[in-house]
Amino acid sequence: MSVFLQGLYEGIINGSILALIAMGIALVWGVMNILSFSQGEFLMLGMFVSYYANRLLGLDPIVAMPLSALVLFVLGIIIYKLIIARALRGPILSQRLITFALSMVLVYSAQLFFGAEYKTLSNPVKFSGTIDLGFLTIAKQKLVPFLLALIVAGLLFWFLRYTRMGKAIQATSMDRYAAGLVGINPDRAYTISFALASAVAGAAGCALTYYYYLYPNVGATFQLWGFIAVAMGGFGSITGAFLSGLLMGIADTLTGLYVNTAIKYIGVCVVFLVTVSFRPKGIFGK
Amino acid sequence: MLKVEHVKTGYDGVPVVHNASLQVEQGSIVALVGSNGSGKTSLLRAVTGALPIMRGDILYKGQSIAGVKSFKLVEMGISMVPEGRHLFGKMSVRDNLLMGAYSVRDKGEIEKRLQSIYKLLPRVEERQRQQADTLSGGEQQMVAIARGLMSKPELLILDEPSLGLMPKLVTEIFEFIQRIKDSGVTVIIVEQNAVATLEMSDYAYVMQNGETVLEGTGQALLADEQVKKAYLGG
Repeated sequence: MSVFLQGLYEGIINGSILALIAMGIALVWGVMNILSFSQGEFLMLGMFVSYYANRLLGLDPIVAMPLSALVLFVLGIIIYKLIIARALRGPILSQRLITFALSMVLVYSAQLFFGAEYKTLSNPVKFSGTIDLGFLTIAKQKLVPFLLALIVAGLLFWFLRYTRMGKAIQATSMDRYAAGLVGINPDRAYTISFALASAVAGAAGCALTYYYYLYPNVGATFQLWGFIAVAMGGFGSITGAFLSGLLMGIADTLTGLYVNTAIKYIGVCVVFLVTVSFRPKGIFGK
Repeated sequence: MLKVEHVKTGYDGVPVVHNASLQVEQGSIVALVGSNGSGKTSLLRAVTGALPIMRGDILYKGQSIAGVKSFKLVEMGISMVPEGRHLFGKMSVRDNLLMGAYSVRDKGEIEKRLQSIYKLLPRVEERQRQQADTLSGGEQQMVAIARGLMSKPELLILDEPSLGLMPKLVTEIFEFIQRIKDSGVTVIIVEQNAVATLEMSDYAYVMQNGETVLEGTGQALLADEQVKKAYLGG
């Protein structure tokens, strides 16, 4: 039982990062119908912010998190204004693929500036140690991604539902033309959504550095699984993306634990295939 | 109040409207009639900043608004109710109306406007909790116009408000528009339903092949032989 619980817990932690990536993808897709292939690279950049904050300033990732979110938010705005907004005026294929090109640019830029070798945090982190509950051992730093995922999901929900900007974003996602007619600047709604999604990935990247190594291409795997989580949750559904991310993390870890770590991804894929067999549009898809 | 001067506009560099001019006096209802594809909707889209002005100018209160984006026009007092209603389908009726007052920040003022809309349209109040896309076509049209009124416009532009509605509802919508005008709002209306529209309007323009070809008071156009033949089925 205790092994199962431990596995379940580790699964939720691993799933939290996927959930964070997936929520960003779902937000961008839901609002502007853009597939954000660069979400994994924003995660990677967040990891590098965390890495350098740790190496140069001796900061814990948890302390560097607001900084990373801010850096990625600003970068998100710049990328939106410079690249995405232009692509949106172009043919549909460039709208769909622009972030794919962007992700390659980001990966190779990171390789150029930060080097291709694997890195881990060089200074000791202060937020560490374990909590032993008897039936469950919790590594403190591994709690960070999970708590972050919970907080981000809550904040996004609150923001979209109760703030003026959030409502404007919702309205724009339903009908861009009508949003303009009631006085909303649709372009601003898009910009904020895109920047928010990249800020979330940036924060997730920070949390990930507690227990994961970083290198320029680290985002690719998370990106792929994040996409699958979005498809499983129902495209555009942030709640669906959150839950599917966690579910996939659990499937991954439990398959590894009870079957064989070599085939743990098969477990995730089976969960995905079964889900979309019964609900082709995803859990929350309409 | 609004002056459209020799405007040419279109999509992707292909002009649809070649030469359209019209003038709207404050407090009047001005109709724009014409057959399908004559460029009425495109002209409205140019006025509200959704299409580029290739030639000519659009003046609102003496100031050029050519190329001004629609979300800025709302703050200047121009509100447009588009063809096909374009409600926020997954939002409640109430939220749709509240979005209409997006440019207003004073909550008390928003509530006041909401109540005055409800007084005008009790049926909309009954439905306020309902999701907008579950309403009937007539109700959706009412909500769309009501949403357009929430920004307290001085100029309200209505594109095909009676499209797809049954005759009884058409009458209701037209009565509602008349009441809006009586409250002091200037109205521009584009309609296929030419007879009813001309009867109601103070002044009207006829569009043909992207040009404004005829103008006159509603009554005069109704009596015009050429108009009768072309648009009124007579």
